[in-house]
Amino acid sequence: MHYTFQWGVAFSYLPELLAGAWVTFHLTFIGFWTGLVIAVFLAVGQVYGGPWLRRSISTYVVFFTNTPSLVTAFFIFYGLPEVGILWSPYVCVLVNLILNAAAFLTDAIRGGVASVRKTEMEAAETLGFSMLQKIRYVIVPHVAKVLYAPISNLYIVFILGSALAAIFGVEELTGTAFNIAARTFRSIEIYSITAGIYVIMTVIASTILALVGRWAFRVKARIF
Amino acid sequence: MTSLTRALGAILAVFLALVPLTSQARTLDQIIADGTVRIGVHPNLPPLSFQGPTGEWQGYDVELGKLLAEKMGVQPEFVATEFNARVPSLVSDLIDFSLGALTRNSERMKVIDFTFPVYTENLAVLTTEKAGPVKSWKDLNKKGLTMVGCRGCYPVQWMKENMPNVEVLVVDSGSDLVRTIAQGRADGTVANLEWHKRFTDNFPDVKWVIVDDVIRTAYCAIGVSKGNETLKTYLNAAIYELQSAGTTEALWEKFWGAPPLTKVVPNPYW
Repeated sequence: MHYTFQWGVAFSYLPELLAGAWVTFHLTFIGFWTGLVIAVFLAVGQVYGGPWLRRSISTYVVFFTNTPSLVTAFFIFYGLPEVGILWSPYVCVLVNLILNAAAFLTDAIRGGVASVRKTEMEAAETLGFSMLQKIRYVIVPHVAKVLYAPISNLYIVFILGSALAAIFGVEELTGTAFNIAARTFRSIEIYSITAGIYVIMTVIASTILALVGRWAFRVKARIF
Repeated sequence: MTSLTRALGAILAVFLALVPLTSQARTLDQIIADGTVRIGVHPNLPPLSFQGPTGEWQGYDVELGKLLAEKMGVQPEFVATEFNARVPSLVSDLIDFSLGALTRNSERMKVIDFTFPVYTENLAVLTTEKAGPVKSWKDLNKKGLTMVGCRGCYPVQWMKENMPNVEVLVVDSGSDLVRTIAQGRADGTVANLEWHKRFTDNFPDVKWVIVDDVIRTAYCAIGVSKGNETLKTYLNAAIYELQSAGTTEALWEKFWGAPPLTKVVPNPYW
């Protein structure tokens, strides 16, 4: 009565799984990096902004870093339609991802922004830099070097965490795996292959991030 | 790169070590000796099976499970298995048999074994007045419409094959399925309404339209591990006794308030 693994059957669904992996990729790519851009501004706001701005940003960060992303996704997907906001499943999950990524990244970047030397900021001031220029030429180069590795790690966490999109009708990798498993009942084989695809995706992402880090910010990240 | 090779090697080793551990299902004798039978039921599919406010199991499957356990002379232990968890739970021996509206078909019979049918499920249409006049599922097969199904359920595949013009949205559960239609995210569903109709009560303001001409009847049976003949044959005999005595049909009427749309003919030739 031992279960017999049927890898051939499972591998015949590889193209379908890879199509799902593509959705996982662009969902997390757009979501995370948009979140990062927002987070840079929020972190700057938290360090240099007025008390009200600081307080609002803190509330947002505390809320999203302390609620499961699944719960906020439920709120966006099933809660917002009650007040007439009906987004497509992809947009719902993407917005949730951006809001979560921005919150976590704001928290991570804030310390980096605060550690920019006062003298550097004063020098920028004397040169007549606008706030945007200060972010671009003083804050980002400083923060990037310190925070590149933890941010890269967070990106991997978000790729894996994007599996929750399956619950909200997005046909990404995990959702596709569920569909195939339901059709064929070959759950163990399908989920093993799915796990393998996630590993390959994250290894590729880490490698590219490490290479970009070396080239753009001279971050000496070990790939493996 | 050597550490990567080493890491991948370690993952592979762990995986291979796990393979021989795929557990062996318990025979009828072992279950009787143990005194407890583990039955997989869906955690949220009223009135088929659900948990009350204090966590106690209720519903048709639960009553049926108790009757089967009683015949075996053992205590039933109910294990929550969502649609997607039913078969993996059998394969990894977390449960002895699976209830939970397990649709029997040839594709699935390659992986697990089924008893004779216990009840039927009947594909029908659930939509709202917003979708316009709908006399049959074909009226919904239009460009621009979205049909919803739940992940792990058979009708999703049916809609994809038979309704090529619509988008098929797949959500997590029966209650989510009904909510997406109520909120206007989807226009309707072709589903086994036995399992989902009850959730429409949560949205009394929605003008629900049900076209319950049976599109297709599928048979739900009890799932057992592949090759677990002693348990399967026993369950077949027990089901026959319950069905021929009218017990199962009376139970259905108790929970649904009406006879099943398609009845199961008791089969003594197991």
